[in-house]
Amino acid sequence: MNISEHLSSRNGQLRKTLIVLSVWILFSIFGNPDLFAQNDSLPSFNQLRTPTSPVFVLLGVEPSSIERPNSPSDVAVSILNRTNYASSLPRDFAIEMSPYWLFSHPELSWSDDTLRNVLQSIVRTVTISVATAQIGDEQQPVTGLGASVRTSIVSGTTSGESKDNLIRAQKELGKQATFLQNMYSANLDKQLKLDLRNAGEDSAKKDTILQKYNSEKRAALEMALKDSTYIALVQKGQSSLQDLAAVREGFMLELSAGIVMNYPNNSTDSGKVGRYGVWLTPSYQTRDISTVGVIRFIGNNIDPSQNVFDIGGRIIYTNDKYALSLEGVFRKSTNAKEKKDLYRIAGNFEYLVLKNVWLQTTFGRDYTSSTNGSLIAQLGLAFNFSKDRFSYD
Amino acid sequence: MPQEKKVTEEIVVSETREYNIDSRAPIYLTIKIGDAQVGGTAVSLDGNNIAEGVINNLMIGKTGDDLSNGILNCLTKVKQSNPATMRNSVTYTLTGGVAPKEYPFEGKFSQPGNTAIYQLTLILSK
Repeated sequence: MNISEHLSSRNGQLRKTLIVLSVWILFSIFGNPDLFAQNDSLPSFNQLRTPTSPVFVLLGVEPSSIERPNSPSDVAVSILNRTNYASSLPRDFAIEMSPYWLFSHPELSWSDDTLRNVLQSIVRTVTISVATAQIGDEQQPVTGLGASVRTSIVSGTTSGESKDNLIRAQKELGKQATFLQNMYSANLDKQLKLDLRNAGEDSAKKDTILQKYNSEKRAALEMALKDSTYIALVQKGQSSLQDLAAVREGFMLELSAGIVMNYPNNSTDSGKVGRYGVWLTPSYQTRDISTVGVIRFIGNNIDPSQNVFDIGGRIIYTNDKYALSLEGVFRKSTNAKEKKDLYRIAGNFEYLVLKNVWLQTTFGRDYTSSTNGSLIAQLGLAFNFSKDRFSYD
Repeated sequence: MPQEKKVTEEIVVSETREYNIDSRAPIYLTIKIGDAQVGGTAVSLDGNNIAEGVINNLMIGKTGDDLSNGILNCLTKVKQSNPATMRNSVTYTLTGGVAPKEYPFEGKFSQPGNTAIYQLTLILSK
């Protein structure tokens, strides 16, 4: 291929990239008009963004090799668009679910959850994830399908600022409840007491009185909710109801494990266990800065000489709409003949461009600098859906 | 384009129940807001406000007071503070009467950012 053909080819790929990105952004906008992220009361990035599935690490498609501890939701879906030129639709998907939060927990108040023991932490943060990615190439396509589990053995504590916000919210909601109650119930309750006293022991009369009271009470409450004075009170109190998502801080320790099946040519008969791994992620989190470490073993069932140990660290700065981080991972092979130790250094920037849509850029050096593709220069979109998880209001 | 904030409140529960009392002894009310959500309650007795906010072992009446046919009205507003779930729940517990009794209720925020309203009227009867 000569230079002009090469340039023409690169221009063509860039054009395709822009077209695909534009289609996705337009689809997102017109598909849901309520998509623009607002930052008035947005929870911190750590609470909003579910980290990418551990299976992506085993599939080798993770945008970052060291993920901060998980903030689970009952169900979350991640879609990575990580092709070098974003020149095709997303191919890498994960679905992650938290068994604990699929059920109601009426016994658990927010103040009970500020500090967890080990068992409570494990149960409340355990998530199960299934993911798939294309891990081969055009000549030899391979679909990877994996499953993982992760949980926090230690999950920090609710921050002081979060506790203050929640206590303030309790007071404001109590105040609003009193105002509302005074609007609709005082006269009804006094009348009910009088009517029940007059009814004496007549149970049929009492039933009629109660039916009438219930329907009048409901109607009066519905009307009070629409009252302009009440609505003005609620609007005025909105500032006391901001930043309610409890932020957890302090030391955390997460344990993850997973396994991947490889399916060459997408054939189910050809499937075999590929990589598997287990790792610990200790971290220390504050609202804006997290320092995260990793100690990891990844085994390769197809070629055990490629079993490796990783040890690394990452520092992440976040605010409401973006996250900036730098990571370094040192890799040692378990193969005694492999003399050269490998390392990865990458910088990562994520920006919340639309609701549930993050623009991700990663630059750096992957483990084997002498091989093609070891330069990390990725731009992509991550779609992270968690059904009705949190409001951006 | 930034959207105006909407406050949507939805009535999850509006119920009336009975609680059997000894006529001359105080009773105690505790209201627990579950699923790690945040909320506040207003409590009135016979149309008069007696408490607001977090309700934990609230004493209603004094020894010697006749609470029979009393109308205890509880209104709880719950806001989502737990990003892990859209569920909400409130449990009202009364003790000091003939026997302790719990009144548990559950719901779901239909939209993120909504407020759930639980309203329970308790008729104190002998």
